[in-house]
Amino acid sequence: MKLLGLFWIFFRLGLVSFGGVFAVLPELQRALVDQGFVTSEGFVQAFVLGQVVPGPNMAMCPVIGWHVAGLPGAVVAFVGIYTGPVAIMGAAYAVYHRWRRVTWVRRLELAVRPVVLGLLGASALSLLWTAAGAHRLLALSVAAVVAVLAVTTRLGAIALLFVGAVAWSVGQALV
Amino acid sequence: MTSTRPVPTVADWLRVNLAIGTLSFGSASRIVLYEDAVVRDRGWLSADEFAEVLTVAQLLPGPNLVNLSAYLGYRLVSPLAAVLGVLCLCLPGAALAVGLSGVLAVERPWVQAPLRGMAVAGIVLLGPFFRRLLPGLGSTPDPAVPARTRARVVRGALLAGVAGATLAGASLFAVLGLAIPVALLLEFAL
Repeated sequence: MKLLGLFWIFFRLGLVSFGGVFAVLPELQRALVDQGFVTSEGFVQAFVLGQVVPGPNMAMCPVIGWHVAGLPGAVVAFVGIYTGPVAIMGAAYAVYHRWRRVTWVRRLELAVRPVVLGLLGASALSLLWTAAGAHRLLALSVAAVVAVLAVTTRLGAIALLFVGAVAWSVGQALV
Repeated sequence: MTSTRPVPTVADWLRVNLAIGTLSFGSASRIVLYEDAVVRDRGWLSADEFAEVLTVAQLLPGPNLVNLSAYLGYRLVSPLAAVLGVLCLCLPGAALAVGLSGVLAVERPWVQAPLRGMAVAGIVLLGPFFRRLLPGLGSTPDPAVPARTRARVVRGALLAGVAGATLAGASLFAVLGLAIPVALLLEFAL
């Protein structure tokens, strides 16, 4: 029953995960936390782990599944989150390959883009808030340091994640 | 598809996905890895065909990387290869993340501090995505026709509405159910 509930949460969110996991983070967090599968703290930690490993940024889902129900939970979460997108791409291939009108597809993409960006912006803010916890000033400072380095240097994603880790550790030790 | 292009076997396709799933660190740049593998290194698709596939992958729900892998798998090899390819792409990272979560004692402050720092940095890393897509908010379907201010304002308002409703706690399905029809209607009105 628990596994079914878990599958349903991941499956239905996979169906609407426009642009990836970020679009569905607030909804995912609410669904999982409200039903007692994970704490907000645990959710943020799973998100971070999902970001630092190679591959698509949805690796957080099996992490949460694992903590809820061990290996079966991880498998259910993994299958749940990826089934929708893979099936939809299959359907898209079957349909689109026949009448591919690129301008038409581009027009749809442009139409839906503000919705995707709006969802993304909202999840960035709410996630920042959750990650900050009681240390809001520290979180904003670390964000500023990383942003400045991202703009002014050519550091890659992994280097910037590392900078964030060091900056927070140093900041917390100083406070 | 032209008959002169090389066609990958299932094993070729799985190898490409496994390599990207194991070695690709750092978010958006990973799409380039597929382009390199499929277009530049092996010539399975032309650059134009790849761009077309990428548009479809970005438009539909799912992580871009997964959508790209699945669509390419369906198109270049077979449905089974598409599913197996996505498995090869996603399993290594998933297993590593689960493994790390078991090893790290995340409740310790000295483990939590760097994780929180990384979470914040990971959010900042979304910046380039916005910088790439926001200026094009007023774009027209024809690249030759310049962006229009009216479209930019209207789409900007829609973006703000979606973000505001989500932050205020509206359910994702309610937001999408309302915003997508509105977005499509606006598209025809503009």
